[in-house]
Amino acid sequence: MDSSDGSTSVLIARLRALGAQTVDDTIARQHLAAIERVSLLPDATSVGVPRLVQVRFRRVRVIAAATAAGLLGASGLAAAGALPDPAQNLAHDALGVVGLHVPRAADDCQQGAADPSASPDCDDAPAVGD
Amino acid sequence: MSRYDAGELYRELAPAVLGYLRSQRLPDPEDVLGEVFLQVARDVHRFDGDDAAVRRWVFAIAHNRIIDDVRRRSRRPQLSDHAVPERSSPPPGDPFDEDLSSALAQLTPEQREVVGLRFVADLPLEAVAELTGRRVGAVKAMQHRALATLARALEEVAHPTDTNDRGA
Repeated sequence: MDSSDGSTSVLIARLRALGAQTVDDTIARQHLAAIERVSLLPDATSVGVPRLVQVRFRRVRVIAAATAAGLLGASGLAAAGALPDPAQNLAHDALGVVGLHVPRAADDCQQGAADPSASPDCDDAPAVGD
Repeated sequence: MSRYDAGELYRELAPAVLGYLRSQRLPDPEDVLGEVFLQVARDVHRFDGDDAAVRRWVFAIAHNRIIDDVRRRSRRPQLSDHAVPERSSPPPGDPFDEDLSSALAQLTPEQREVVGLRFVADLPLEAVAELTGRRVGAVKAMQHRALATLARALEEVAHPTDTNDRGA
């Protein structure tokens, strides 16, 4: 073994000694307390939390789908003029704002039949959109 | 069910992991040490392997944490009026090898990574190659160059005037 081998061995020994550092007592106690807290929660942070997140996302998806289905159904009924009168009029006003054309309630149309210009939306074939 | 307990792993491996983190010149090695073992505590129940494998696993977590830490720091540079220290100072009375730490600063991050995993973490060449995504031969060559650079740097620290004279 020449001197460079010797100095390399000394260098490696010094590097290995870095791996024998002492962890400050206070820090080690804090770390061990945190480790214990995590260990006491069965799967809480590795498996449990993602599961909770999944459940929440599933709920959001179900609510979003139900809302969308409800809106579509209501729009369909409104377009067909099949909603109760107050709802039909409400749908007429609300959807009119966003450019969707749905008829007014049938009663309004009958009342306004004498004056067609008073209820221009009372057409026979309800349409969605212009 | 794993036969390993996170607390016991901490008592056994925390000094080596801390040394590894310090060898990589992280500003807050103790904070990262805590993060590493919290992850160990979360996932140890899923671990299946022997003592050598658990050591590799813990250092793989530490290795990934270092990458995350470096990435985080590069994304969010900290603004400060004060000069940022190159690394945190070890606590008083800590037998940290200051000269060696300075010499490590002269290595490239890749060389430091290899030297840290190979000698401070005491992992076999194959494990270092796997962790760093390099071939064993490449790790060996990098290790050789890193040790030569470290030896030169330590020589300069030990005999600063000699090297200055030689350079002049």
